Parts: sequence; C-alpha cells; structure tokens
Amino acid sequence: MKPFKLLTPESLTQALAMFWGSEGKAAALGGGTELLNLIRTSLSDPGVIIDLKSLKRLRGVRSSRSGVAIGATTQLSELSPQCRPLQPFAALTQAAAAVGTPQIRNRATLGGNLCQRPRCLYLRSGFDCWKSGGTQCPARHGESSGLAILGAERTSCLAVHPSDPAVALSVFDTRVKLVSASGSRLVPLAQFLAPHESDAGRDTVLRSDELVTEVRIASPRPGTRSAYVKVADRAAFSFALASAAAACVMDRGMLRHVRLALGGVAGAPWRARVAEEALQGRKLTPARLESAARAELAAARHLERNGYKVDLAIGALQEAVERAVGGRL
Amino acid sequence: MARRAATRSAKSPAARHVTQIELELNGRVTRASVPDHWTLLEFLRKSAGLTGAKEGCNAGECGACTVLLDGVAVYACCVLAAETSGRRVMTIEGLGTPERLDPLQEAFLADDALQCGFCIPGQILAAKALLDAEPSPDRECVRRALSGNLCRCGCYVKIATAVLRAAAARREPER
Repeated sequence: MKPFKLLTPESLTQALAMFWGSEGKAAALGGGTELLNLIRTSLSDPGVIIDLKSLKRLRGVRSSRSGVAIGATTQLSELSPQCRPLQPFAALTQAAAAVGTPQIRNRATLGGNLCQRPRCLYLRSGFDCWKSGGTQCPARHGESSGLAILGAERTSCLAVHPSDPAVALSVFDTRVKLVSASGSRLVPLAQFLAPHESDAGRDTVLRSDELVTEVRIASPRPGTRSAYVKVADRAAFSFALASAAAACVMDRGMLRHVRLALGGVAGAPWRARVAEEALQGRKLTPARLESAARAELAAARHLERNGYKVDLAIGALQEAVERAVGGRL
Repeated sequence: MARRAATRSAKSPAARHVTQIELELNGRVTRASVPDHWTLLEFLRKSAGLTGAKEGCNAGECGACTVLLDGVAVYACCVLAAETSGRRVMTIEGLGTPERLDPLQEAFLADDALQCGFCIPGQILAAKALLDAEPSPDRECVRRALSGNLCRCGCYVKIATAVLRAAAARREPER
C-alpha cells in the first residue's frame, strides 16, 4: 500500500480543520473495508488519512422527536433488530445484516457504506472509464452482466450502486448530514447519491472539504411495516444482483403510504414510483402485486448480459412487499 | 494504555509517517513502531513474527487473516496497525498451547475439519468469536457466523461439525 499519514482528530472541529488544511488530499477513514482497498488498487491516493472513529459524537444511534439519527461511523453490526430506536425501520436492519460478511459488518460504517465506489470490474481493475476520470465505458460493450437496467439512458456510467442500506433508506425519509468548516447541510439521500452528470467521476455530492457526520431518518407513519430482500450469487461477500425494499401501512386490507425501492439495477437506489402508484390505496392481491412489479420494470433496457436482472428485480419487488406485510400472499 | 502518539522522522518516504503503538497482543503488552500505512496483518506477519493470520486476498474477500480485535472477528488486512493502540488483539498463536489445545483446536483435529489448513486459523478465530457470544449455536448459526471465511478445499461441513463439537466441549469440559 502506498504510504500515507494517519491523523487522529480529537474533535469534529479539529477533524474539519484537518480536511480544510489538506486541500482536498485527505480521505476520511471509517471501517477501512473500502478505503484501504481503494488505496491498494490505486483508485485513491490520499497523502493523509483522517480516522473518524475516535470521534464519539459520530457514532451510535440516537432517537429524537422526529426520528432517529445514526452517526456516520456507526458500524453496520450495530444496526441490529435489537437496537430499539431502529425497530420501526426493519428494512434497514435487514439490509445492514445483508452486507458482506460478519467481519465486514464488524468494521464497515454506515457513512462509508453510502460513500462506496461502484463495484464495476472495469473501474476496480484500473480501466479508463467515466468513474476513473475518463470519457468512456469499457463495460458497455464488454462484461455487462453487472450493469444497470434502469435509468441507464440518462447516465454515462452504467455501474450500479453497491449499497444495501441505501436501498432500504430510500423507502424512508432519509437525509444525510454533511459538515464542513464553513457550515453544514442536510441533503435528501436521493440527492446525495446523484452528482451532476457533468461530474461523472463522482459518486456523491460530498465536497472534498466535507464530512458525512450523520444519517437522519424521519419516523415513519404509525403502523408502517418494511422489509428488504437481496438477491445475490452468494449469501455472503457478494453485492446484490438485484434487491428491493418496501415500506407500507396495511389498513383494512388496503395498502397505504407505499414506498418501494430497487437496488442493483441503477446507478443509485431506484424509487419504484410506477409500482407504488399501482398499489397505493388498493387491496393487495398476488395478481395486482405482480402486475405492479412488471409495470415498474417495463422501462428496463438491457445490454447483452444483464437482461436476467429484469426478472430478478420483478421477483425481489414482489417478495419485499410480501415480507413487509407479513408473508406470502 | 496510552492512546497513540504519532512521531515523525524524515528519513525515507516509506518511513516518513510512523506511529508508536502499545497493544495487548495475545495477552502480552506489546510496543512497536509501525508505518501508518501498514495493516494489522502486515504488522503481525512482518514485525511481530506471528504468521498464523494468513494473507489470502489482502482485500477483505477471503477471511484467511481473521483475528479478534477486542474479542470481535475482523479482517486484519482491513485494519491499520496504527489503529490498534490500546486494544486487544488475539491471533491463533494466542489460543491454546501445543501441550494444551483449545477445545476448538481439539475439535478441528477430531473431526479432521481441514485439508490444506490455510484458512483454518481464520475459521477458528471466527468460531471463537461466535462461541464467546453464543455458547449454544445451531448449525445454521455456525454457518452464518463463519460465512466470512472461505475454504478452497471445501471442508465447510466438517468445519461446522467441529465448531458444534467444540461448543459442546466448552459447555461440559469434563465429559
């Protein structure tokens, strides 16, 4: 690994000053399960690494009047169903448990999970591509089996977003708190994960002098049930080929306040608004659920090797709704 | 133990950023001076002379370097050595002695739960983390707890059997 200097700030103020002083050359260290690999493969070359784990304010789950706040360096293993404030957010605890392996979840942080780089083989193998600062996509006409099937016509990079928790967080009102020496801002998750297309090399709107300090989730409506379903080629280690999260309220057999999201199929978690619309305020039946899921995927466009994702996403979406409401229809 | 205090010298580029660490390594207080960019795995193998934790993928994708950090299973290739000051690290060398093996080591031998053995230190430490937290796991629980440890010889069934045997032995050491 290329040498770097490790800094351990004693306060958030000190950490922000370190970032400010590094002129964009510093990287934030959470669990290290992503950053160290990026450095090893030369995808990142920070002269300075700032370890945020010593900052107690950035760790842990806190309840507030409006919902919960999860510190950015909270480990994924801490986002368990036993964590009381997270009990209204079953999809999130299920998604956190679906990440990587026990050893990864014991280290990886929620903030770091949201800031991951895509897992596209071409990016990770050092090819010249949009995400590495180039102006082409070698995957498009190559090994396309992992690529996006939704929204791809609008983006130059076709890699999918790798995070499981981000998909679950998309069915709740989630905002990401970004702090710099000059102030802070709360950015809705979808916006956080949608840098401008002219900035194709980036994965988030995080500026180089900013830190992710917290993820805030608004309390869902009373009675909200949610679930996360991940389809992957292995139960451990693997990223989702397709995944789905669902949150809804069941009211006398009718679905209310339905929110659905898909993972593994687009450059960011994909809000399944077509399917939401088809289910909203209606009685949940297997036929209606299937047709809603199919309608969502009607917009899918696939390349040579990723067409299988269409059926996986349709199935995952149905299963997520079924699990959220409590079992097979 | 003292938190880390960084010191710097300007000799060679690689030695430029060095951190003094003091950790409890296999029960013994250990002091060392480590380059900031060294992983815990590099420190264990190159500096501490402990080669039980193996370098498989060096990317958090195989589990061969699993060690316990404050009792929790982690990949030593994904932890910086400089982060371990003031903490407890246990490698396979810290478990049992050649004369008196740990129940997990006894069980892996009894069930012949290995072929080449490369992944076994990691498997055993992942199993120890499980049994310390859950003394009576079922097979599914064992499978899940060891899902972050690949075995290219495919000994998974016997490994799970050995962990269940060790769990029983730990509960009733006299039998």
